[in-house]
Amino acid sequence: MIQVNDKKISYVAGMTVADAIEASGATTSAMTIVLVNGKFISLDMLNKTALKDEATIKLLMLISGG
Amino acid sequence: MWSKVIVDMKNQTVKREALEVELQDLGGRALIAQYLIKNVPPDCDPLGSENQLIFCTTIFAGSNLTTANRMSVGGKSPLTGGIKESNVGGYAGALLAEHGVKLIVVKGLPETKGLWQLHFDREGNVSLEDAEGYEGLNNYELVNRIHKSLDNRLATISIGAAGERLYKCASIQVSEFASNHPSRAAARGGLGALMGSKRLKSIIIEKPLNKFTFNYNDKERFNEISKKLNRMVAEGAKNDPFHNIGTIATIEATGANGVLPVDNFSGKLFPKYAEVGSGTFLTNLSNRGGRNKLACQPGCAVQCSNEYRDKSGEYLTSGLEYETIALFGPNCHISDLDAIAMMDRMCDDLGIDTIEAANTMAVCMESGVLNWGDSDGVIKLLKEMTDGTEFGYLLGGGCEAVGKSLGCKRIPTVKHQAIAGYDPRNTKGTGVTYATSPMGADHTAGLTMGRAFEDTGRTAQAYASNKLQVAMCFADCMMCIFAFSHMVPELPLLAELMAAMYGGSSEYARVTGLGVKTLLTERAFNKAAGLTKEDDRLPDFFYNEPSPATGSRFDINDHELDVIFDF
Ligand code: SF4
Repeated sequence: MIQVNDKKISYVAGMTVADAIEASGATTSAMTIVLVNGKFISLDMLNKTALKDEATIKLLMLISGG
Repeated sequence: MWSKVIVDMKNQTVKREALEVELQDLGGRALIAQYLIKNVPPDCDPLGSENQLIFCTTIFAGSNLTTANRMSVGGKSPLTGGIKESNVGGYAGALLAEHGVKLIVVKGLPETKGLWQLHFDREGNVSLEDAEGYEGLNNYELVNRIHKSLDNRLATISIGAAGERLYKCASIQVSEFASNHPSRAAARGGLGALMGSKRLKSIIIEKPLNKFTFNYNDKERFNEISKKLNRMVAEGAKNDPFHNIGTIATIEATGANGVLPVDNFSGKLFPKYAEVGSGTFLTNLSNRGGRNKLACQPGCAVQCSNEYRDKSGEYLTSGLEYETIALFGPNCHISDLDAIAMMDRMCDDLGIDTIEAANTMAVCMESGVLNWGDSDGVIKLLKEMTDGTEFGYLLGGGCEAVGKSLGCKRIPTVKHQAIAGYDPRNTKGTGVTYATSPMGADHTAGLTMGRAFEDTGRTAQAYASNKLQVAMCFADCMMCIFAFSHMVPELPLLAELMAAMYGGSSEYARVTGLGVKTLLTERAFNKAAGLTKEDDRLPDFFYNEPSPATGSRFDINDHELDVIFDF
C-alpha cells in the first residue's frame, strides 16, 4: 500500500513516484513539492525514483500562509 | 471605471473620484508600488504626515475568478523603513469591488485629537465618522460592537490597541467572510502602526444596495477563461492538503528536513513536531466541533481556512496557519497546539503580526527572559503587550528592538523585520529570497523549498529565488497565491484575462513584466529610502553556524545576492 496525501493506492512492483501520483489521481505542477517518506524529491526525478511498499508520498504547494 | 477614495486626515475630508487611467488595469502589489513611488517621498518618516496608507483590490477584483477578491495594504513600513505591501484575505476586497472602489488612499495626520472610522454605507456613500468611543478596543470587541450598530452585511478592516500605540509589529485585521471574525491579517511590516498614526481605527464596508458593474472589454472571453481556471483550481484543491487539512500540513514537509525553525533558528530538529502537526489539528477540530475547509473570501475554491476551538468546545481562533504554529511552536520549543492557538487569538485581537511576535518570544527565550518551551510565559508576555506595560511596549517594537535591548547575539531579522518559518540554511533559495526581497523576509515573497533544497549549486538557488519572486509578485496583484499555485500550467491565460477585462495585450509578457517592473520599482523606492546592499543580507549566524540537523550553512555570497535582480 502506498499513501499519497490522504489516499491509499495499491503497490505494484517497480512503481515510480510518478506512477503512484498518477494512480492516486493527483497531479503536479511547477509549484508542487513532493516528499517521499519525508525526503524532498525534485520534480525531474519523479519518474526515475522507484518506490518501496508502504511508502508515504506527500504533495504540497510551494507556498504557505501566515 | 474603478474609483479611488482619498481620505485626508489633516482636515478629515473624504473625496471619491475616478482612478487614474494608468492605474485602472493594475492591482495589489503592482498598484501599491506604482502609487507609492509617485506619491510618497521614500525618505519620509513612516509615521509622519508625508507617508500614505493604501488599501487596494486586485486586478481581477469583482470578477468571477476564484480568490480574486484579496486585498493589499501598502505604505512605507514603520518596521523596515522600506516599501511594504501586505496582502490579506477576508471579505473587504469583495465589498470594495461591489462599491466600485479599487484604491483607498489615507494621507496626512489629524491636527486635532480624535479617532475616526471610514464608513462605506449601503447607499454607496463614504464618510469619516467619529470613533472615539472605540478607543483602546481590541479587534474582537470592536468588530462585535460595529456589527451591533449596523444591521447589514459588512466587512471590517481594523486595528487593535497595538496599532493605536504605534507598535511596530502592529497588523491590520480584516474580517472573514461568513464568520466576521477579525482573524485575517495584513500582518507584516507594521502597517497597523501606520493606520494608528493616522488615527483611523477602522474601515467599515457595508454591502451596497446597488452593486457596481465593471465594463469588460470582452466579458464572454473573460468568463470562458475564468471558468477554465476556476475548474483547474477546484480540481487541484481536491488533492491539496491546504484544502483537506490547512496550511498546518506544511509542518509535515519542513519538520523532518531542518527547514522548520527550532529554538530561535538553531538549525536543530524538533522531534515532537508532529504534536503541532496535521494529526493533532484534525483530531482537535473533530473532537471539539471546530472546522476546516472554510473560505475566507466568497467564491474561494481552495478553502484553506479553519475555526479552532478550545478544550471546552468554545471558539478560540480562526485562520490558524503554518507560520504561526511553526514560530510560536517549535521555534519557541513549544509543542502545545492549544497554547499556540491561544497566542494566535491574542495576536489577532491586539492586532499584531504573529511572525514578528513569535520571533520576539524566541529571542526572549534565547536571552533568558523566558525558558525554552514556556508557553505560559509567552502568554504572559503577550498579555503585557495587551496591557501596554513598559516591557509590553518594548516587545511591540519587534524582534530586532527586543533582541538588541536584551543583548541577544542571534537576532533573526532582515531589513529589521523578523523572518518567516523556514530555516534559510536548509532551503537556501528561500534564504536568497529572504535576503533580497524588497519586502524583507516574508513568507509569501518566493519560497523555494523543495526546488533548490539539495545543495545543487549557488546559481541554482539564486535562479529559483528570482523566478519565484517574480511569480509571487505578479500573483499578489491578482489573487490568493494558494489558488494561483493550481493555475501554474496555464499561466499565459492570465494575460488573456487581463486583455479580456481591460483590453490591451494578451501576451504573457504583460504578466511577467508586471512582476519584474514591480520588483524593480520597489527596489528603487528602497534605495531612495536609504536601504543599501547591506540590507540584502541574512544575519551572520546563518553564515557562521552550521545547522546541526544537516551541517548546512547559508553560503550564497554577496555578489550573488547583489546581482539577483539584474534582469
Ligand atoms: S485559499 Fe485560503 S487564504 Fe486563499 S482565499 Fe481561500 S481561504 Fe482565503
